[in-house]
Amino acid sequence: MRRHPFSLGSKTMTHLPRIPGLRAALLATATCLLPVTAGAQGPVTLPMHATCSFSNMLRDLRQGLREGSPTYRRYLREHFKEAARVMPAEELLAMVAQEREPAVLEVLGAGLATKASFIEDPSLVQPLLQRAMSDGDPALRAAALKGLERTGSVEMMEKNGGVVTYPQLMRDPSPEVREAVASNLITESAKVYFGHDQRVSETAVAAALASPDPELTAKLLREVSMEKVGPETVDKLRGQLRAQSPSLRAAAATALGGVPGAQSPQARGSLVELYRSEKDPAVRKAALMGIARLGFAGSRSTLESLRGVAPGLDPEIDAWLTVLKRNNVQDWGLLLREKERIRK
Amino acid sequence: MNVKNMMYAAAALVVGVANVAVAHTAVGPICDTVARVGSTTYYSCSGSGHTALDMSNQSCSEWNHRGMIQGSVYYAYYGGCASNCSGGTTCNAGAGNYYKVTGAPGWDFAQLHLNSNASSGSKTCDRCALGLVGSTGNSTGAHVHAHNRKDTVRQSAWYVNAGTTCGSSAYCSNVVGYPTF
Repeated sequence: MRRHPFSLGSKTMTHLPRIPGLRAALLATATCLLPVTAGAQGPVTLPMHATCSFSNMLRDLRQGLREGSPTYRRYLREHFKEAARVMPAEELLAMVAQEREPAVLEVLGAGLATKASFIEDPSLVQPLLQRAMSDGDPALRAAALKGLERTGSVEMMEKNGGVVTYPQLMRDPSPEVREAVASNLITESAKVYFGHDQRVSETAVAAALASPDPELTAKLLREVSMEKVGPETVDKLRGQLRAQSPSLRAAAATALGGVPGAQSPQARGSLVELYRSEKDPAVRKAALMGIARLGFAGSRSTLESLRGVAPGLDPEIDAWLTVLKRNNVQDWGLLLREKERIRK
Repeated sequence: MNVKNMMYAAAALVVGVANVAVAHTAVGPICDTVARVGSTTYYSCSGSGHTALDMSNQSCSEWNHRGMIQGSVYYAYYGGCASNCSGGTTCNAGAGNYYKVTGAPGWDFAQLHLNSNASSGSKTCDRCALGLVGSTGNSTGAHVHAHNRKDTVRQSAWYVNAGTTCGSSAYCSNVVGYPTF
């Protein structure tokens, strides 16, 4: 088998000299790291030769991240990730190991994680995991984690022996690190697996329950898909219906609304019980939403049976029943939007 | 509406937003600069209906068949077909060995007909090697077939909007489409 013809393994190449103006300089340095496209034209005469080195590229990246607009910084991150796929792993690893500036570490980490994903070598992210776990600076720990965003990080952690895990990282004393954990898991569930991965969902629940911050726990339970979780995780979610924090109880009710069909009888029973015993109207609303989501049109009789339990919320039940009578709406996102249109 | 209720309403909407299909960027699946698109909406751009991309570099079982989506996604593998360079079999209902990325409800993106090798298997990766360019299933000659479907109906906007047509480059750094899933 022939290997694909990337030819950018060398440390030094030629490119345009550094031009006054940050953008032009960064573009020049970053471009020299990208593969030549199929549509490339004939040879271009360069005005003069200069060394394209990783240290120059890193210097320009650092400057751009310090001084560029948010949009430009996002561009730099994406551009570096593309370049990193064909950069020598040793150079990337050395840069990650030495970096002390959080914004730069995050981008370098994203590049390293992209390369690991491209060449399917999860061991490449080990130094990133170690920094996320043990760097003395919480901003650097968070940055190392953010570098793993939108990758298969849960799987990569497992393939690295499970030495560093998200539930462990969620116990970090720094709120910044814990927020990075939540952000990574929410993004990974939605953007990498589109909500269809049991391992990521269950890791998210485990991390949520390890969090000392109820609001962060609630955020994870609310926003991560539960469509593939198993019975043990459903039991954990049911346990959170008795949490002290109302937002956590509401989040658990929301999460239970999204569990697989096989788990729905237990989830529905718990949500009905919650609706009957709960005092907080917002939590009760979440319970109604969970019941509606579990059964769609089939939940109408359950919802009707709850009329009068909390008279102030009967209009909420009516709104759900109105939407659920329209049998042509089978998509939960559309159903929810329609219900919100009728009654927020 | 008080602040608390507004927060809960916003949180409720997040639950729906997570299931919304969005556009992704797809590059060519073969890291050979000679790789080209051979069919789009019609076979060879003038035959019967196709509504997908067929891409080839005129080789078989030699070059990697790579994931086309920019960014890490989960490629579910459906294998079991013996390697083939001429096609014409009904293995996996004609799809041959293939990968599918399942996105928001009803949406998917698939790459068909590869010959399997050690790289083949369900995986999460960013444009990694999935197997070899081959011709398993209902295929006439080794190529990569890629389609983007909504409720099992193949869509064309994803490659039309990228300006991809017969003869376009299918090299692995050339954008060939923006599939939705």
